[in-house]
Amino acid sequence: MKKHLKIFFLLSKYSMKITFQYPAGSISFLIGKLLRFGTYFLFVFYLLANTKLLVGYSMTQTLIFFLTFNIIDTLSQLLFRQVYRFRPMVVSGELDTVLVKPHHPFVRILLGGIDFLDLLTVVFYIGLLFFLALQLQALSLINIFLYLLLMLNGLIIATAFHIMVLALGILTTEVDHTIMIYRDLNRLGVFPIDIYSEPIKSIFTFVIPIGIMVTFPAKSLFGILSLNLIFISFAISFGLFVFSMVMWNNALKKYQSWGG
Amino acid sequence: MKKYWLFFKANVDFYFVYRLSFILWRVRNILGFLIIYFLWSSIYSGKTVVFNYTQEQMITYVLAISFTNALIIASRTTDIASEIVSGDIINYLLRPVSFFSLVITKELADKIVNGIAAVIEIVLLVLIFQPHIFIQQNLSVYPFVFAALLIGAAITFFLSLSLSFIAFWTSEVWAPRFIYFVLISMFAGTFFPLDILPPLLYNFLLATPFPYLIYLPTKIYLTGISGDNIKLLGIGIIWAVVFYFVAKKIWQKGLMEFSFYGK
Repeated sequence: MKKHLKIFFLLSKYSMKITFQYPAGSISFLIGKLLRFGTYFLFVFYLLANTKLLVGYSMTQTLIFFLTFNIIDTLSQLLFRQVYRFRPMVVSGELDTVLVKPHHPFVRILLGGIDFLDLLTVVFYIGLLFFLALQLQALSLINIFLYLLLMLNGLIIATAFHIMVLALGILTTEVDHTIMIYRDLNRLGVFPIDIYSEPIKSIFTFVIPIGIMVTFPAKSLFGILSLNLIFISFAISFGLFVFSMVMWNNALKKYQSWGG
Repeated sequence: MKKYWLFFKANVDFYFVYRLSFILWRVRNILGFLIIYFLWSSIYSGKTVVFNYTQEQMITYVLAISFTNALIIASRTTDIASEIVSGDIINYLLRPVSFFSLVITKELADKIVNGIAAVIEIVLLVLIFQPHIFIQQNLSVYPFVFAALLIGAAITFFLSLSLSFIAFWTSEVWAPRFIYFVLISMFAGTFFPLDILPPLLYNFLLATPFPYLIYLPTKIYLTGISGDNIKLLGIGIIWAVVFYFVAKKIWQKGLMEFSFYGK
């Protein structure tokens, strides 16, 4: 574990150096990210200022759903940015050099490219969330605790999805869009999952658990998530994580070293 | 002409060779549609008119976005930046063909394949969700919609091309491209019709090139021919001409900068 942490910090240090090697590019990306967030945030604000409610949720609640989505999405990008660079590693054969090393490959291919720009934006989102959460009337310590727990649960689901993308990257090198499909699926949770009609709502809650990942934490903060659903959330994230690991192990068995 | 036809065919074939990638790309578009469609459907729950749009008009707008996105926003000109950085662009420059004609041919192939796929998706989505949609009965509106689509495609083409040509000076081409996509996603009308915004902001946006990409063709389809829409078409033409000259100038300057060491 200590060895893995050491490698992780070393790779993160390199990643930080790469980010700040091109300050103009990094600043432009940061401006772009904040611009995207700002315009969407203002759009939701403007929409709800006129329509008052979205499927029964107030403006503050809808903005908390939006922020929760952004925090989980940004945290997973922050941690798992290296997944976006995985396909070239497989095609070029660079993956071989990772697999033969005496450490778990995930240290390199999953966590090996921390995105420091996202660290800056996520701090801003958390501050905004804190400000909005204080305006909720039914805010309690237990709800805050459940919110944090379900956020963690959401991150486990995000991790499982990223591992599945890695496995698919090995199984089918043709696929360019897998990670972007995940991003688009995830984006379905930018608004509360209740906006979707059945069976889409159930599919994106329990089969592809986007709802559990990004909508359930906010619901628990409002105190409207039943205990049963909380337990189901943990069971599904655990199941998905196990499934992703099985998928990864199977993909590794089929890996034939494409490039080199 | 024959060589361009062969190049066109080769580019169409490209989508059928990398079928899975193409299908996944289209799936991404459908997912994007689902968010906007259900967002607006929930907003209209219990309401007939929101922001001066009936539900029928808004859903038609959302469906039309799928089509205009495929025809206008999607562009193969983004590839050019990496071809300049890697030096592969030399393959085009050395051949006895016009670079711009090749790029336009590639773009045309992309738009035809994606446009057909978008129409099929829209038909399927209408069959699945069975929304009430607005069908423009006045046939004289359609040439204006077509003109607006052409103007939108021209603006995107030259604007995106100009962004790719930045690669002549720097390999850091993705940051400006990212900002470009962010601006388009919000200010071109890909999420909502721009005239729902406060008048001051709406009028400000009309002075930028973005509303002429998605918003204008869809607006003309929904509201028909009016003095305002004709005026907007005129502004759109001006933007297309401006970006044509910008792209041409950057290209000429960029070629003077370009050096290649061979492989």
